[in-house]
Amino acid sequence: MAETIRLTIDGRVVEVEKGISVIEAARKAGVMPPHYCYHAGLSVAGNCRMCLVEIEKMPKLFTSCTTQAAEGMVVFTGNDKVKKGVAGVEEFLLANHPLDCPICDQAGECRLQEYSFKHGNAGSRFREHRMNFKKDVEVGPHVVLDSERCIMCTRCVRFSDEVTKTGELGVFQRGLHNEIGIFPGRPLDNAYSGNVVDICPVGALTLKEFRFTKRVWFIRDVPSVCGACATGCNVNLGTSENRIYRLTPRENQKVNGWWMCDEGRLSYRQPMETPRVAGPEARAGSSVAAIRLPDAAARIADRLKAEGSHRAAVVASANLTVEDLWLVRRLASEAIPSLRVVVPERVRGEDDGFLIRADRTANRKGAALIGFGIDEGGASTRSLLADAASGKLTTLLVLGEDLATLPDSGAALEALEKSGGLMIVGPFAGAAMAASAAVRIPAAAYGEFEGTYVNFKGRAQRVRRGITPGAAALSCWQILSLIVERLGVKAAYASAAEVLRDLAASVPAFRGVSWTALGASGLHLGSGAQPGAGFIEGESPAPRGLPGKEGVAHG
Amino acid sequence: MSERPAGTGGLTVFPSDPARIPGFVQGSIALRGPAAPEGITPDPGRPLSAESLMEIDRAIANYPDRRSALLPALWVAQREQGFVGTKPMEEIAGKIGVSPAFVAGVVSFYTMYHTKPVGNHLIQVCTTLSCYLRGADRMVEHLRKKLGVEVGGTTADGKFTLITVECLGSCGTAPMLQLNDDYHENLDPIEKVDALLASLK
Amino acid sequence: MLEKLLLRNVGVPGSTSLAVYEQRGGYQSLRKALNLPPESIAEEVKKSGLRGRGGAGFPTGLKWSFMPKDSPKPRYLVVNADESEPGTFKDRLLMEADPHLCLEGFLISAHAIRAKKVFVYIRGEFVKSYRVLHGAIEEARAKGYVGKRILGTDAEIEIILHRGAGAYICGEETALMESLEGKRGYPRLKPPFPAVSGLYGCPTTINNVETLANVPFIVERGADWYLKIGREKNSGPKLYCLSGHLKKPGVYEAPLGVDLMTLVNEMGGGLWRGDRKLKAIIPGGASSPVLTADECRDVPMDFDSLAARKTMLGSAGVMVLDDSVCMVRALERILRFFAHESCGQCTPCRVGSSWIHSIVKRVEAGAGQAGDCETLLDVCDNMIGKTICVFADAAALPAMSFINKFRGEFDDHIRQRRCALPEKA
Repeated sequence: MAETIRLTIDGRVVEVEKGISVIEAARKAGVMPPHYCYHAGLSVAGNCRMCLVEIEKMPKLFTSCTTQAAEGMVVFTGNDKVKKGVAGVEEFLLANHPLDCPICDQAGECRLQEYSFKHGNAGSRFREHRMNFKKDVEVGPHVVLDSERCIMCTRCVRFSDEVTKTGELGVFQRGLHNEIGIFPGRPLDNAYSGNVVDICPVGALTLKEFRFTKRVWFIRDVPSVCGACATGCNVNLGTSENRIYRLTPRENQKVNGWWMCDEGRLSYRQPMETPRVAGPEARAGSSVAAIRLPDAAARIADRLKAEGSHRAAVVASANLTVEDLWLVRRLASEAIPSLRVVVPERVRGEDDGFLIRADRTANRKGAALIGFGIDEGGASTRSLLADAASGKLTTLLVLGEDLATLPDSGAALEALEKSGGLMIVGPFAGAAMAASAAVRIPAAAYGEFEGTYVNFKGRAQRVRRGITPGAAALSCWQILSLIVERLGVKAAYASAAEVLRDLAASVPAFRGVSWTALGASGLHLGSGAQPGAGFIEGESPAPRGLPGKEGVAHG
Repeated sequence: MSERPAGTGGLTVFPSDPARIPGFVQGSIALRGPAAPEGITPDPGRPLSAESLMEIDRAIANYPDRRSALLPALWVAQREQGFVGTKPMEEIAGKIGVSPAFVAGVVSFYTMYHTKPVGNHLIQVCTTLSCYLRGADRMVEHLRKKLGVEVGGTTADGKFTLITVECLGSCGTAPMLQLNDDYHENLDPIEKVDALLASLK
Repeated sequence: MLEKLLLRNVGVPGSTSLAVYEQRGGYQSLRKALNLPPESIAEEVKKSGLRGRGGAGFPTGLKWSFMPKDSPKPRYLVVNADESEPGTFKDRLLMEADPHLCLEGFLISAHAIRAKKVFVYIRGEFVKSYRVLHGAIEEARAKGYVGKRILGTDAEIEIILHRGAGAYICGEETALMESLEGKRGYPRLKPPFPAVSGLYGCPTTINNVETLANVPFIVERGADWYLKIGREKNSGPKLYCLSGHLKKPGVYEAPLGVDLMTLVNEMGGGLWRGDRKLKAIIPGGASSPVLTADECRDVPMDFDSLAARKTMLGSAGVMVLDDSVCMVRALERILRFFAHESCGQCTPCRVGSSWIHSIVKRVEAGAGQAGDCETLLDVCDNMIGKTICVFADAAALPAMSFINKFRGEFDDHIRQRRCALPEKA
């Protein structure tokens, strides 16, 4: 337990950890001073001068981010002297700022706007020429810089120095000519470049993929987690009119800190770019006909029963939720006992020491905890595909996977097309391999289902539905429950929450897990004695950044 | 604004190729300086000579921390090539152990580092208060007409670059100017300026 | 005080050579100092009342006493030779004409604060100073005054010359350290103070060239002797830089507290043109508030007297303005300097310096509007005391003094939309 001190902020006495800054003490007291350059995940710069406070007995105002809280300190964040100082700083910032609000993406989540309204003066006295800079400079593959809007808080520069340690961004020139920039020919192209857009308090840095697409006040944020790798960065799905317009990171000091990677940030696009099927379909000879869902489920169930556990198998994606995987477990243990289930490995590159994992699936740990062995090196997958190609397997139920993207799957697909045994359930129901399928049922893609993922550290987190597009609104578990019921096993659940309850009651690792318990930041499955869960190690905090020396040249 | 492609029922489709979004300017920030006009791509310069690299190594040895050798290294580069190009900036960045953007940021902060070649004779006229009181503006005007360049410009034959600078610490001998490394003081009456120019032919 | 001290070698043929310097008594103080315990030298300097000659006038002995008694980290003396305050040119004279006096001051002071390394930060434009000092250091090294085992003692002091590259803000001590460390010259947040965490995070003292040039004399003749020169709490000889509308501009040595008009008329020769009258004097470099001609009577030129008159001695850059000067245009020139030199790190200074310059430029050009003066004064008020360093104060306080003391000229410009004075001849 760290040593604490007590100080008074705006008349309120607050007890804080010794050594923290006045601004953090003020946050604890519920009176966060306005600020631009301060960010808890970056070094203190103290250059915006907006977080001014008055400290009793001191003649000058102090920036609260650079001042250490002391025992007995008396701080005022909103008296007249402070108000004039803060209004003065705000006036300085607006003086040289272009009147871009009508065309600026930041409008609606812009601190300059908010503070101007709350702390600034009504009019402007500035009558001079404003500085002109280039307004739409591509500084990286995802980031656009408008230097006229920049307030020189240097958050972006500190990010590229301290978090990614790649040093692409720098401050150039002097005085009012100060501008952020890159070295010619060396763009901001690290794997985390999009974060500078989040931390930019104004519209100087914007995300190319989001620019001009939607006003933020139309966006409804749905808290969820990213599904692009095993880290499970906490995110907000920015939704409007049943579309996801952007992902932004959500703070979670146990998982991702304040950050997320670019690939994850843009991962919401993939389901939109993949052709989707409107409803269940079945092949009859050379033609494809739409069928009703109960019929499609029945066909799958009947085929599995007919071929049995010797000639049928299941390929289940590690991107399925634990709820989906629980139904798979029930299918393979109760409905068709000993049914072979393979969860393919999807690995790319290496763990980068920060947020990107080599494991590019969201729920491998969840699958393991439910009892599906992880296919290290792809051996089980290869063996299954070989059996399908040779005809040993006549029936394959593919859940949430795109078989065509697994190595050496061509022969297997060909064989299964001939034997009429390829059955596909998942968002990739429209993908290339689907042409070979006997039955295909579309299911919900990322952002369209409610469920639970377990990240590589063993933290269970809720993955949420933000949009519900058209007919493919069913989750895999819902379709599987129809199949399992057809096979004579009771598996009717009213909701995904109910599935989770059933899972938690049956699998020791998940004891005590429920949607309420998961909340917004998840639950580490190692916490609380879970019999059988001893192999989950203690959870480390989120890393602060990429390993390495600060601010060095890349390459 | 992204256009609404036909055939999407009026929905805005996210361009998967961001380069198709109109209005983006490819590129980076031009490095400006007293002799580098706005908006022009920085000059790459040449790779540093072996002697220069050795001199930089000697500079690094003077300091407990390598980065302190950055300003000395930039002086070495400028002495060799007359200005600091982006190629030497990258080399120096590697030697010092910082990013090229950091080096470029340092170069652009200090007025004496040029990012483009300057004339053989860099004429730096002080125009701050004391020199102003003793006729600096008139001297600048005289030089402008005599050389036929604007302030900040270089003569066509590449011989002279004329710039104005802030206080050179020679207020007692105003008006004055710095020609490359050397101070030329007490330049009143104006004939002294002419004599100086004549001596440089 | 009739005897020249700081300027005693200036003008003497061969004054830059070690031989001449020693012939005239140089390096005796160093000899003496190296055989004294460092703390005693620091104590003597403290007693002498020597105050910083760079602009702030902070008591030097007190600054030295901030260095920690025990610290495992290396200790540094940094010499601020970044002289860039408009109106100031004394350090340059010392370095070019009497480099060994400077070196002796550096060496004794380093010994006093137990520093083994001295970094001399010379502004980039002072190429001659750099070359002369470089030559002097080599001479001194050859004679064993610099390096290891100085004069046969255990003392080990190395001097490294470091050139700046054109930035006034690097004269601010923390910006100087940033520049020395190879970065953009952005002043640091304080605390921590340099004596605790300075260069490379180690205990560091930064002193001005002229300040250190006083030290050999204090060691040679003692604090009591030094205290007799000047006035109470403002002791010692001072180099005054006279420039502007004078007959004899230049550097003059006088005891601290010399009368301003004595300085201007007797030493500076008075106004350069008989048909002009005195209008104003800026007493301590461009950062100091201006004095009207009336206010220039009976002004002792020392730190405290000028502070009492709401201005400052600063770097003792005395700039004399006659009645041909348009004060609006003069202020524009001063503010243009500050707008160019602002480092841009923090908001009030980055925007404010340029804003007040733009206002005055506009007024000067005849495009001023009613309310401009009030706006300017309020903008200055918003700059002062809210920034990381005092650059903003250095720009704002003189601006306010011009407006307050010469308000009529500004109002005339705004009303008549032109300058009432004839174009400068």
